[in-house]
Amino acid sequence: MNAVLQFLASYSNIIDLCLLNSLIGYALFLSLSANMFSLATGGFMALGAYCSVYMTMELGLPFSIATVAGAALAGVSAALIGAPVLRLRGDYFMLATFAFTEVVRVIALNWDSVTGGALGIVNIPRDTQTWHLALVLIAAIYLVHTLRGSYFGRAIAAIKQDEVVAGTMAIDVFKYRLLLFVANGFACGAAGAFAAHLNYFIGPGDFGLLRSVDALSYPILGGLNALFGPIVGAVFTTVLPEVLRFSNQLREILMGGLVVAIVLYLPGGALSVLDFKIGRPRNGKAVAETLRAKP
Amino acid sequence: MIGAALQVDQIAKRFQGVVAVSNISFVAKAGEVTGLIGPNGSGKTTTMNMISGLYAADSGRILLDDRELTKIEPHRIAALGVARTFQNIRLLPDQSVLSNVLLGAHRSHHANLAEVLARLRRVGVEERALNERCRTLLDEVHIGHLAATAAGNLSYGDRRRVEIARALASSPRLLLLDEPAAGMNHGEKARLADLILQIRRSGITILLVEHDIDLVSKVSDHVVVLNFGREIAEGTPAEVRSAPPVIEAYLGREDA
Repeated sequence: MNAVLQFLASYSNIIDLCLLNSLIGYALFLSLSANMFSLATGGFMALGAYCSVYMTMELGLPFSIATVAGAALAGVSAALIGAPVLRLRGDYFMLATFAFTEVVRVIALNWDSVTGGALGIVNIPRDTQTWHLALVLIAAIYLVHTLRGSYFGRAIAAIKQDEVVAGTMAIDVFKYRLLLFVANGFACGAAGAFAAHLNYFIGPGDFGLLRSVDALSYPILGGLNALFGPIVGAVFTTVLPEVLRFSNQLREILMGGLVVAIVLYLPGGALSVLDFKIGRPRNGKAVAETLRAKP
Repeated sequence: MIGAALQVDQIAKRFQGVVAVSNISFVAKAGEVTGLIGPNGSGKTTTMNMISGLYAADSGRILLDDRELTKIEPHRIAALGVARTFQNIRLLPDQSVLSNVLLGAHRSHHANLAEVLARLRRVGVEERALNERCRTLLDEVHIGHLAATAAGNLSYGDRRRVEIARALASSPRLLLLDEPAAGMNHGEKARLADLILQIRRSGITILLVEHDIDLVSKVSDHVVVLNFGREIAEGTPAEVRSAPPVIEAYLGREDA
């Protein structure tokens, strides 16, 4: 028992990060399930982070309200940018969402009075508790699981595979995409608020392109057809750099190599290994198609 | 009457200057089978795509009973009761036959997002009822035993049947069949004709785009013939078959 507590104490940081990244993984799982390769994650997280920090530190509001407000702000901005941008096809959508993340970063860099500019904001209260993250993550899993089992899930799967067919089945493709994108923004905003209150510090560099690309990799590495894919991908990419700490220089290279290996040999994501065991057909092809498909 | 009347009025479509359809008008009467035939490139599929909203017509109007379909999105047209199949079968290959057909029943679901997330009892009841209806439909098109099979693993003829079942699952008032007999052998075609007549008996209006004149003659009440994007003849199957412009379009001119 003592050993377990000790373990938890020394690794609590990593556990928090795993939970946080898993949450981000589910946010991206939602958008990817309708073929939306969003690079807006960094932008949404920055909105959630700065908004919530402003509310807790400047306005003295409780952390819970600040988190919900940060998430809501990100959700609303997802609706605002989603309405025009979701009409764009594949790569253009990706570029537009990347532009959004950049715009938010540049604003954060220059709006000194609110964001602290390039220096960022320090001494943020460490309000995020592990159980907060766990609770929100469980809620996200429940949401995804229930959606997948419903006719909404069937409609989303149809949009992913053939949106023309989805349209002729009376499915409002645009409405579904917008809803998923708003849900994605809301969850990323919440994750941003949690991240800000976990690290004592936030700066404009925390929420850039790298963050957005990492976020995309969680559900893709874990498996887009598996409910627990985002967790597996997020934990993998969070823990691996720690495990590889013994070789500081090789770390990044090994990490990259492993990611390439997974994409090459398990195109359905890490969890497609399970499909072998249970004897179901491999779904690797489906994901490869997703990567190629244009929304 | 379940079926709705389709009125196509002077519709035209150009693709970068190439005229695909020019000023076609016809009526598909409620509850009847209307055949739309013509050689390759005569504008049949373009017409069908305009009716289902995948292409916007450059001019003209399309009416379902008294509702105008022109310029509204495909999903709204589908919600008004227009279902279609595709010439190049478009099923979700890695999903089961039943899930494919359930997709057609999308508009029959009434539970909203909150009810689904709260897992209310009636959400499950609705789901089971629609499941049951789709299974019945599969039985009606004689592929009930394939419900759990992945759609991609079926034979060509059976995949056509799944597409038709999926279209029927939406309880359509107008069913558009885009070359349903393409690639079918003789036996499959005969069974398809029976299926079309069976659907007709249920009162649904059918617009059948087809190459195969024998099939069209067998099932259609009324036939419209297109060539080079224009309407060249119209009438009962017998009338159309003996019309000189039709013979010319299919066989060439006698003096040529």
